[in-house]
Amino acid sequence: MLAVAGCESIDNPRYVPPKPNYGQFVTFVQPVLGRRCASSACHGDPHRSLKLYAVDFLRAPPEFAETPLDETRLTEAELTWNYDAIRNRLRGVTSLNNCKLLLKCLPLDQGGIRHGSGFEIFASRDDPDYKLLADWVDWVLP
Amino acid sequence: MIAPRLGLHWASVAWHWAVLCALFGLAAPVRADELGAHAATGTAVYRNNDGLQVISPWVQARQRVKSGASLQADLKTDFISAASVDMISGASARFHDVRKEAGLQAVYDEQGLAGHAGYTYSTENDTRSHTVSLGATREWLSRNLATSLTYGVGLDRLGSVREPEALWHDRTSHRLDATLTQLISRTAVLSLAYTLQQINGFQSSPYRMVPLVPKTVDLWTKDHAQWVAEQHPDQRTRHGVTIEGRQALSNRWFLRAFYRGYVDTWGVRANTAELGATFKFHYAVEVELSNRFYWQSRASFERAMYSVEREYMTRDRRLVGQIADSTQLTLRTRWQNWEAVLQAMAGWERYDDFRTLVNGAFVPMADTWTGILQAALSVDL
Repeated sequence: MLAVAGCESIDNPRYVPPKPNYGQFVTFVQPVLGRRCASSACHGDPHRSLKLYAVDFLRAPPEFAETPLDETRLTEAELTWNYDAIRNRLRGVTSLNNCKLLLKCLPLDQGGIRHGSGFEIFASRDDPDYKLLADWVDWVLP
Repeated sequence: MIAPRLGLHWASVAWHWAVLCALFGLAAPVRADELGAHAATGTAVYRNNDGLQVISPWVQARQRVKSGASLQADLKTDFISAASVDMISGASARFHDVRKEAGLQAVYDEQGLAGHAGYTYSTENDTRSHTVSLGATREWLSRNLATSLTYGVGLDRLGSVREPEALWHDRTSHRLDATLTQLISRTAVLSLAYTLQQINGFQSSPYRMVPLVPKTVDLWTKDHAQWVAEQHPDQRTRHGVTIEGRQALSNRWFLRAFYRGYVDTWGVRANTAELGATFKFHYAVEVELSNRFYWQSRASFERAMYSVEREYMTRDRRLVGQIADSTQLTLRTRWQNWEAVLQAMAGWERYDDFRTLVNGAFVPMADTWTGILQAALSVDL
């Protein structure tokens, strides 16, 4: 009787995450991540769920980097990893005010939310690095 | 850190007892034979080998306000201590939470017709919940047949404890329970029940992350995992059918058999079978031994590992294929208008290809062992 109740499996199509501009990511966003987020004690820690590569901090293992590591720049595989890691956190974001990725970087009294490390990454929304990130995210918002 | 918290738990148990004593105190000026009151209290302790412990003291008081009508108040607290906030990936340090629940219910019961209306509010660090329920029971055919219908609606607001409530999500649930109980003979009773539940809104965990690992690399290490937020469908319809029979074999021996079939729109199918035997040592002392077996299929969108991002992805082990078995021993004793119940339960759960993160590698989750101890005391005045 219950089988007749229409409880078959639900469709689960592939999800295509937002696709913000990759060129702008490499040019503008990656340097911000390297400066503000990717130190070894923060997202350069390979055990973090949001793991980021940066020139002076965490680098990809050789089997993942695809090409020999260059000490002055990230490989394409590393950049793609960071790009995917960031855009994966834009799912369901409809405005800058519900973008947890950005809100976690702001102080609580500026409308930010608690960041795991307890650090405030940007002092305010006027920080030039915050503006770079916000502009890049804003590009894919509906 | 745990020991002082345990101290706090037992302080709370004492507090619940104090509330109960206060309720008795309020009633004290009335003569006992006029009270029409019922009071109960108890504590349950749940523990498993996965680092989860829940201590749940509760009190309940019911007072007759006029012939056939009474008011009931309930208070319950759950002290939760878990290995991690999401219990799966160990994404946080040891996690503690306190869930508080208060309920008020009006009950009418006279001449084969009963009705109830109730409201319950519960709160914890990351959830606020309101539940309203209405129900009626009617006896038919010289009280040989009883039917009941209960409807409940739950309005929840939930999110991450790290976020302001403005960013939390809504969830609404509707539940309908229909039950039919028939006296088959002088010694046997049969019950049939159907439950329909519709849940709309946010049903993921705000904490759980799902690893996304390309097929080209070793699937079972976290080095190449991108973590994305868990995504469950926003709608779920659940159906459950229960059949339960009770048979008196003699004045001392009683048998109970129970079966529940369950399906939902997430593709989960489950079966529960339970068999229990009760022996009355004395008119006031009885012991029940029961065993429950549970089998569940996985949700259709659940995978041990995802290689591409899907619309729905989960790491909720309640949605994984699993089997479980538990054995429960209950001792119930009555003395005049008092009743005491002691229960001990030991259970075991096995998950079908569910992986947890251990030292950077996803390894099959070990079997879980569960123990529950419960004690309850009630009195009719």
